[in-house]
Amino acid sequence: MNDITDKNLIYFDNAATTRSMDGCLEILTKYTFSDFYNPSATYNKSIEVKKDLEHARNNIIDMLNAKDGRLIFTSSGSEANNMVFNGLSLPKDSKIIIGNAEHSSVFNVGRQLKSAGYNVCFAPVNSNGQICLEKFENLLTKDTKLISIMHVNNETGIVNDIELLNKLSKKVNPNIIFHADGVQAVGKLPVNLNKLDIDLYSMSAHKFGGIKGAGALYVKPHINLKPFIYGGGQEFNLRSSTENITAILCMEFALRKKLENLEINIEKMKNIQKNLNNYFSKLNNIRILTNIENCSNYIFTFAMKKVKSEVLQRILDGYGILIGTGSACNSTKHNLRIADALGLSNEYKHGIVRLSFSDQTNEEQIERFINIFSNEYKKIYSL
Amino acid sequence: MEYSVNCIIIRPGELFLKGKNKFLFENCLFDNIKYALKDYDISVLKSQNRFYVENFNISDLNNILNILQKVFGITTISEAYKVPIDKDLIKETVLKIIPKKGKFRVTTKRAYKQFPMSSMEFSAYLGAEILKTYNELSVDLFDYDFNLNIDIRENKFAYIFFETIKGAGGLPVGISGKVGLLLSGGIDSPVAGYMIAKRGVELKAIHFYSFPYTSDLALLKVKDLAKKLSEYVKSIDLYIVPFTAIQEEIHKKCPEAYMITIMRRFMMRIAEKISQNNDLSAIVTGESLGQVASQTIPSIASTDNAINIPVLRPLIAFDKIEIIEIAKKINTYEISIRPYQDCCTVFVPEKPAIKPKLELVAKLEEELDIETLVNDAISSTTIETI
Repeated sequence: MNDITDKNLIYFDNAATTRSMDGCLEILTKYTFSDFYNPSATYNKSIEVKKDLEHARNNIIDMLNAKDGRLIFTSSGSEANNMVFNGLSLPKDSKIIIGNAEHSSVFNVGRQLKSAGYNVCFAPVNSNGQICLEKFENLLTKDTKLISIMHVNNETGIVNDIELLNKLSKKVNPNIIFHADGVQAVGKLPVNLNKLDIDLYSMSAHKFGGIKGAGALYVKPHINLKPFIYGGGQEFNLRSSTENITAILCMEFALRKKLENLEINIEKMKNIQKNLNNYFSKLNNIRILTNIENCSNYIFTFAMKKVKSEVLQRILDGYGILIGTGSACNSTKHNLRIADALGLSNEYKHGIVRLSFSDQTNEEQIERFINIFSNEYKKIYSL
Repeated sequence: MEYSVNCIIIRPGELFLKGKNKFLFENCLFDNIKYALKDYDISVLKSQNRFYVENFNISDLNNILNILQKVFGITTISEAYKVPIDKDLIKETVLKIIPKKGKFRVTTKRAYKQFPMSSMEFSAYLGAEILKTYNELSVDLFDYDFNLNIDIRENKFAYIFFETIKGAGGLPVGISGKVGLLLSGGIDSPVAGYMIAKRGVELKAIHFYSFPYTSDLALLKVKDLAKKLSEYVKSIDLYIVPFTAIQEEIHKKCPEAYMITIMRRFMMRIAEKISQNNDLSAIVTGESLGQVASQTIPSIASTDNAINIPVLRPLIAFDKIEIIEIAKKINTYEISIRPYQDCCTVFVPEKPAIKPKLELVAKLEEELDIETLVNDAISSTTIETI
């Protein structure tokens, strides 16, 4: 059985999920066995827990410079994304613009809204997964109601200039609601929501060292959402459910730790990316999909000609190297959607490999990966 | 006295069987019923061409009925009230269990000829007693809501029941021998296995596994399929044959268009050997004529040509839509459509030969060390009992 604490194991799928940070266990123990009280009850023990919850909320708001708005805790990034579309109650024929390479928790909701009669347009991306500015501007019309563009693309790591896209949108119509999926951005690059000035922003804790089960949606005060889950009225009456206090506190803790060392770690990741870029750019029949000049430094993605990434994945698995194949889910359809959005030719479509890193990733691991990859790749390619 | 169902009547099929065959058939079915219900504390009895399940816990009744519906060789099943043959006792039971409203008829069958009334007389008698007791019931021999059946059997018991449910039909598994099913993970092969098992054969499954080209999830899918099929055939031995080396070798040495033909000939050779080693008398495939390039008559001829054992193709004349219907009925469809690919999708040419020529195939195979490849695959084969 592979174990992440096994020194020989190389885990390069941190964009799917990453190991929870040391320190989460203490939080988990405390709020599960000692301070396990329901934050909504009114005795002192619960009030203390509620205070901790609100403290975490405020800290996250501070860390993301999000003072203008409020932060609604959800169970995941996917839920936060769904909440946007379900909560806005837009009229049936509303125009909605969605990036063409969005995560499925945005893309599939968009598809569903389209079939329900909404005017959903998909904004094309370039071969790195970045929104094409010109085409985006062409799509913008006065009657546009909602735009959803991811901050960092989960497949390629490319960063979209959310601030600019939002400004362009508001110029066409100041009432356009702009949402960004920030799941791969938070904790991986500086996020300043005040500066981005967008209306809604989603995040997920387990992507940056929290535990699974917590996400959040940032909402500007003028945005009216209808409740996503009805019940006891928690989370500003938008998302009823007893708050997942442990996951939320772990989220705050992990984000704090992440941001403390963000600059140093980004520099480290830049070097890793550079080395990989140097190596892969020399190989024939490999297309690098990550534009290292403008991306999250925690992702490096390439596509192989005529070699299926799932085959490479299984071979490397045997060496204790775990890589991503463009998406955590195994559905062939999904892989092709992204490959199509990036305009990959048939020969490369099934060969997308995503390497995604954590702060523990080091040069030695990269070197070992490259050695094993080059041997194995040669073998499969020659078949 | 408590009135609850205390007996399940099992009626076997193919009653035209006579003599020794009938005896074998009944014994085999008897064993299969006992095996299928081995997890339940019950008794199974055999009496005059029928089987009876008794002494079950009433809360297990639905589970037992579900299991029995998957035992081949059974035509129909009824849940019944078993009472000693006694006119008053039968009447008393009937009056307790009969629905109190609606239209009914009574059908008596009297195999026990010493019973003092004829079938017609007894039906009329019971009908009258029922009408006397319940005024919201009326008789209608043709347009009835329920049919009260009274079976008076030679074992001196009467069986009272309302409904007869369909069993799985076919012949009891084991009566026709053992076969090797090529189980891929697709929709067709489990259905082929089900169809042939219905004719009374025991199944062994053979799966070709192409790691790393196919994943462990694909293998898990095959195991899940075998598990579903095993509900009809006791248990299944799954032979997992590593196939990657053979595929790579063919890919290296033979023209792309013949990849599938030659690959399938290897599968057949390996299946034949496994069959010989394990006393299996035929190979079963899920081929359906014309469904894909490898399922044309010339393709079938070229695969059959590689071996000497019979190949049974129960789906040969079935449309995909008919196959899917059965797959849904036997609950393999949802497993088969999981998105993991099987070995047949590895190195698949864009334009496979749909009319492979035997002489050419034989010539191409001269490049390959067939015996070593087959033997290596067989010696690395693992067996899992599912």
